[in-house]
Amino acid sequence: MPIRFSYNYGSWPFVELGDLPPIAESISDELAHDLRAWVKKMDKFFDYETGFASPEVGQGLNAEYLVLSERLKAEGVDNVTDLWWS
Amino acid sequence: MQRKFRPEEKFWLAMGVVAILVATGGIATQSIASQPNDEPTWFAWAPLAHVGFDGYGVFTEFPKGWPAPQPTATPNLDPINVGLCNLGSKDTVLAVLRSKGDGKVRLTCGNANGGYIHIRSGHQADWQATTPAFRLWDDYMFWTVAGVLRAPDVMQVQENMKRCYSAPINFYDETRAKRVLLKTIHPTVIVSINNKRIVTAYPSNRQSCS
Repeated sequence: MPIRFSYNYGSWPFVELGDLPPIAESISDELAHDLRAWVKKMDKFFDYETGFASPEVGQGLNAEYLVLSERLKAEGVDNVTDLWWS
Repeated sequence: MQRKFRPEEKFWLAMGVVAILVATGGIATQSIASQPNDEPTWFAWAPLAHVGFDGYGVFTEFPKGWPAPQPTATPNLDPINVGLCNLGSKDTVLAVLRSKGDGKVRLTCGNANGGYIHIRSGHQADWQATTPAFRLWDDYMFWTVAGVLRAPDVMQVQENMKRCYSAPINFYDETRAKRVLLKTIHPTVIVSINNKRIVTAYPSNRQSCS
C-alpha cells in the first residue's frame, strides 16, 4: 500500500505507523537529506494562516515536491502525493 | 475572508446540527470502530502526563486491574461545536488545553491548513489506524493532544513561530489473562506560538520534531 508523502509541519514528511521499517533506512542518505531540506523550506515559507510567502515560492516548492515523489518511487518507496496546502 | 457567526446565528446553526444528529442517529463525522461486544479491550497510558484513556473515559492512576474511568473526566469534543466546524465556522473553539511551553492553547475548527478540520482531513485515518479498539477517533486524538501538550518529552521551536511537541503513548491489551504492552507511539503536536492555536496533530512511530 502506498504511503502518503505530504508536508505535515513536522521534520519528516511521512506518518509512519505499524511494524514497517523506517523509510529513512530504506532510501539513500542523499534523498533523506533532500526530503528534510524540503520540509525545512516549507516550514520557512508556508504559513498555516497566510499560505506561501509568494506564488513563485509556492510553485518552486511544489515542483520540488513532485520531483521528490518520483525520486522516492525510483528508490522503491511507493507513495501518493497530497498537495493540501495548494 | 473568514466568517464570524453572531450569537443568534450560532444558536440556529446549533439547532440545525442537533436536527441532523437526531435524524441520522449519530455524528456523521465521527466514525465508530467495530467492536463485537462493545467492551473496551485496549487502553492507552501517557506515562509522562500520568493519564489514561480506554476509548470512553480518562483515568489518572495507572490501573491495577481494568481501568475505571472517572465519569466526570470525559475527553469528549462537543458534537455541537464539531457540527459548527462542518458548517464552516473557522474560529469556533473546540477546546482550550494547557501546554508546557505556550500556556493555554486552543483547538479551533480551523480550515484545510490547520486546526480540527485539517487534522480530520489529513490524519483521521492515521489516528484510527493506531486504535482499532477505540470508538471515536477524535476523542482519542483530543485526549492524546492534551497529554502531549501538558507533559512532552520533546519540545522544539520551529520556523514561522511554531512549536513542536511530542510524548510517548503506551497501549495495553487486556483481552488475555495478563496485561500486554502492545506498542508505544510518539504523536506530534504543532502549536502556533503567536496565535496560541493547535495547527496539527498526528500519531507516529517516532517523534517528528527534530
